[in-house]
Amino acid sequence: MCVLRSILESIALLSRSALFLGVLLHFLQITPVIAGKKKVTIHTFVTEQWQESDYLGAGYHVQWDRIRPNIWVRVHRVEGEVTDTVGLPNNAMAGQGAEWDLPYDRNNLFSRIPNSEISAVEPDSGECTGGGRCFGDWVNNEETWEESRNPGKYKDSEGDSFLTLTFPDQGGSEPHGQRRTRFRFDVFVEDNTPYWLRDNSGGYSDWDNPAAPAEPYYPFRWITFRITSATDPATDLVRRSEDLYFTERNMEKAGDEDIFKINDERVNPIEKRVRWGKHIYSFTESFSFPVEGLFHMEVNAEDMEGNGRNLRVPISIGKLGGIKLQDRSTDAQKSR
Amino acid sequence: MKSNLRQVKLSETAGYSRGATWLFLLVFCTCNLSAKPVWNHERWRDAPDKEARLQSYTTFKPMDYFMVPTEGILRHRLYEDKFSLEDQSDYEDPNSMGPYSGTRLDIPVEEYYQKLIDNAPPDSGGAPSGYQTYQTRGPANDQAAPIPRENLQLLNFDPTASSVDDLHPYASVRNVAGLIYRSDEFTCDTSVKHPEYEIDPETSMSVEVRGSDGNLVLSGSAQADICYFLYLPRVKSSDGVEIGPYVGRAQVQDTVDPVTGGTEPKHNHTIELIENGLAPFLPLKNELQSKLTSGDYKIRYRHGRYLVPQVQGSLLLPHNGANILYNRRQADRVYHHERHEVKVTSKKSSPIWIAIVVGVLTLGVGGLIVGAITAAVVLGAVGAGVVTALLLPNDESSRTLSGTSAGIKGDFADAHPNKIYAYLALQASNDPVEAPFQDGSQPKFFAVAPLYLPDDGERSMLKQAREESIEALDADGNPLGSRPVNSGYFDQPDAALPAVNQEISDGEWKTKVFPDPRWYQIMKNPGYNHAPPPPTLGGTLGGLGAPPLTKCADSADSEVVDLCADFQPLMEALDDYFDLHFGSKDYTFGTNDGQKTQVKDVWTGGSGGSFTVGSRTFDASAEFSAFADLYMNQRTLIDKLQAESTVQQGGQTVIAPKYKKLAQTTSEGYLLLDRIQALDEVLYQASQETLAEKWFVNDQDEKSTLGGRAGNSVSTCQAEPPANRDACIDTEFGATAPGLLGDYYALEDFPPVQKAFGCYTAGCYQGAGPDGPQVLGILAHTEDLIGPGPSIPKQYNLYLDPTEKCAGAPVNPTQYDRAVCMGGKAQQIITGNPTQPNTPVNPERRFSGE
Repeated sequence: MCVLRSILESIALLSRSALFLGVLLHFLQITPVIAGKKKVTIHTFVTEQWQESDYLGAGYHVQWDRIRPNIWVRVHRVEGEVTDTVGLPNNAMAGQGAEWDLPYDRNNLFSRIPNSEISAVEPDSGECTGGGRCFGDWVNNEETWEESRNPGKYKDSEGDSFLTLTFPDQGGSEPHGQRRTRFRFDVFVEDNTPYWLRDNSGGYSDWDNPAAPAEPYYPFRWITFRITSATDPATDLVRRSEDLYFTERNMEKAGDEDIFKINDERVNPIEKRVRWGKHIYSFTESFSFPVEGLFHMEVNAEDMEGNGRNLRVPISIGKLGGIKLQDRSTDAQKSR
Repeated sequence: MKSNLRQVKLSETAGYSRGATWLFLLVFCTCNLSAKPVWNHERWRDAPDKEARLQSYTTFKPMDYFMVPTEGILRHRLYEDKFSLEDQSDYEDPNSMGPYSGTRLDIPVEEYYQKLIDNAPPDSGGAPSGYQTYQTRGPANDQAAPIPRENLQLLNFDPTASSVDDLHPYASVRNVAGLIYRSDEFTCDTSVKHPEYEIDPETSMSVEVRGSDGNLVLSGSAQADICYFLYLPRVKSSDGVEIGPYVGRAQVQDTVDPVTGGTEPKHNHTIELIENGLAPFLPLKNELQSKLTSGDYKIRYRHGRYLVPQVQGSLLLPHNGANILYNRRQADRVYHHERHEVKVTSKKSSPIWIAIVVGVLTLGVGGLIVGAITAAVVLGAVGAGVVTALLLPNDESSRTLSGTSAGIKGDFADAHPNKIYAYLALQASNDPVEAPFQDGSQPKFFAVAPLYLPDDGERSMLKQAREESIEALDADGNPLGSRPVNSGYFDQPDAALPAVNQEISDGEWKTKVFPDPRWYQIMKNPGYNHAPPPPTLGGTLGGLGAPPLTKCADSADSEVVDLCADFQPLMEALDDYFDLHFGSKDYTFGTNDGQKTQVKDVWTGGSGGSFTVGSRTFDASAEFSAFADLYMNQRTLIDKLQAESTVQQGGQTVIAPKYKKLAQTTSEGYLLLDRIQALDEVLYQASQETLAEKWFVNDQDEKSTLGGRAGNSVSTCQAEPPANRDACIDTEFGATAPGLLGDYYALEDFPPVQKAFGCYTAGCYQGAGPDGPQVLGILAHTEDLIGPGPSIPKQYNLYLDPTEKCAGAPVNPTQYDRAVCMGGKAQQIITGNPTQPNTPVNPERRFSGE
């Protein structure tokens, strides 16, 4: 019995020892740390992820308006009732995203937009550096629009300049009119800002009350019109001795605060407040050139953000043809 | 002896049993374990029930960052914005909040996306490699279960994207005046009432038709013959990058977001611009037309804002003058740190080791019975230990990496492009609102749009900017004190400062950036929506955050405990309401607009219920009627909550501290504020979209009813002897029910109806005619004549033109006074003649709450 017991106990002990050793040895395989102090190399790959409330570049970005007003003038020579239009179409509506399909008409600027791509523009200066089309898509940045400054830059689809006055009956070298010929100038000025708001008192005091009414104004500080010497151009609102004719509309001038008020019957008839989906300020001037010579018609406009534009168009005036006719008549009478 | 024999047999049995155990163990242990480096590649799911970390990462930039572009940027109208760039450089530990010490080597996010997608395996059928992502966060309570994975693809970023070029951050356009155009050669789902147009024979261009009074003639109803759109022309940067042109549909009607399913309300300012004729004709080229007709356009409308994409870090800025400023309050974006950490360790603490030790000790003292039991225990313990060890091969790897400084950033897929998984934990939504992280129930999209402040919050922020007294807030909306504008900007000596920003430090912010005329345009020009924003309890950054898990009963905070006790009836009533009508006591809204839409649809789409206010009964859905009942029964607590739970802080409406604590520390408090806020918004929207028209136009012609009742009252009093007429008029029209004003005051005093009546009388619902404001005019005249009651929920005669009041009539007019005053106006009250001065002034304030 003892033998049997001893045998059984030995077997049990061996079993325990062997199994323990087996497990231990096996465990040495998987955990050399324990048995042989062998190091374990652990590669941990983690995509750490979190939501960052990042204020880098976030917040309020003040964006000033630096788009200059658009000016165009429809010029009527009263004698003969001929008309031509000078100026450039709205630079967004004349952009390359637009596709106008209108028959060519010199008095409709959109009908004259060429299909050519807008040419290279110097980004820093906004100036055209290549040939082809140099207006549209906010490109026409020049403070002064004048053909002689950028010859050939503002050509329409017929190759004529947008900034040159050419009446239908006008020959290549003929003047635009004769001395004492009456001209009527319909001036149109538009801004990229559709309106400018002021409070009921004409100031800017009740901004913190969203419900307080605000009056819309054309967003212009001043607009001047002048006929002046071709040799001494002007770009501001100061009247000079060289100016043959000068008018100004200046909302900063006492008594003229409401000169650009859109909803004012004295300034604008209702039907003129919205035209082609825009508030386009317009006025008319008439002038008879007293002497022959080369003159400039200049329209200057500055919007409420201080962006100015000057449209300068040369107008040549010849001698008084009508007097010649009278002279001939006189001659005829004298030929007796 | 017998016992010895029994003992030997038992020992024998135990020995065999132990032998079998060890044998089993030996076989079990030899199967898979081998000595090799451990690849731990599922770190992201350390705890399946955890949210991904929301790290308030305080950069060196201040929260309220104002930037004024340079003159050159203005010239070419392209603005490179660092926001859209992903930092590929080294980071500091965001937990340390220490000074920024890295160098930012930014690349545009498009490049970053492209890099990730290019690294994704081309065929998911093979061995996974490159960048992958989890489909969901995984089962909440089953840590051992594998998480479904999928290869990285565009779908994970934006389901509507067809190429990586479709993934952009966006910035909002603050004012679209001057950017809305029309084209009549195609339609693009922008049917809206608009001016009629005709061809001007002089210019061959379409012009607005005017009536005999000179005013624009509007089309009688919405017409789908014109496409109204936003247009931003193309622009080129100094380094030759061209972006644009961009187009987007004008938001003239409610739309459903294809991604989120949420409803985007129409943009009232856009509609006003169109109705005023201020949408120039612009014949678009075919390629842009097709974008608008197909829906593949870039300018999106989200949450009351038109969003303009940023491309390669460049933003095309609109230049309409009135759009002086655009806002991007905060960029919440998901960051990924790919960390590869190599550790060599001598520590080992494994469940299998514990199991073995336990087993050996047990065997050492093993008896027959104990041995048998031990065998089972050891078998189970070791087996469990091994299983655990297989899943977590090394305890060292089970720690949570809370910091991001551990390991080496960036050698993840690059170092092991064909072997190693890289997981992207993507955000739940690409919607430009703050969205909770992936909880396993929503698809995963990358956040490609920023967050915004509500309009009123924005106005407040701008005001502080002008005053150079920014009230800085931390990520939880807690004030950090007043700080100068952009003060943090100057902490970086190498930062290139725009000229104007330097002037800011000299106190010229107001004069140079926001002079009075420009300032007026910013504040007076409409915000993102003319309609006032829905009233909310929020307005804070971060809102309420994630729902807490703690219960009211577990709170140790006395303020929280008191609030829990105070509002327990309301909490329970809301639980019961959502349980009964929406199938869950835990129904919560958070920032999920879909939940709000669901409630709104149920409220407005059903029938079968009714409720009574004063002498009026309103038909409604059963769910809305139940809500009205709840409101009546819990009125006191709802009023208390709405009165106390918000405070004004730095010009902003924020959650009062103790209520914020309630919401952030207890699940009941969170649900309470979340639900009341959401129901308020839903009620606002339902009133505007449906209920105002249903109750006061369709169910009952309110104007006709009011006129008839007033006429009857006048007739009744005329039949009285002269001596009794004053008293009769007071009774019939008076502020005490059943007087006419009394009935309407009852409506005004009950928000579930008041909002709809306010909208009706303000004419705020789509297609509203003049009847609603005229009803307000009639009530205003009535109040003017009778005198308002002692308790005036909404004083009607506030909307009466002062010149139309009964001039000279005393507060309590005599019969003579009344007769004189009412001479012509009594008739106006009865007839509601729109040509008479019973049309109120500023009726829109009825709905805006001003």
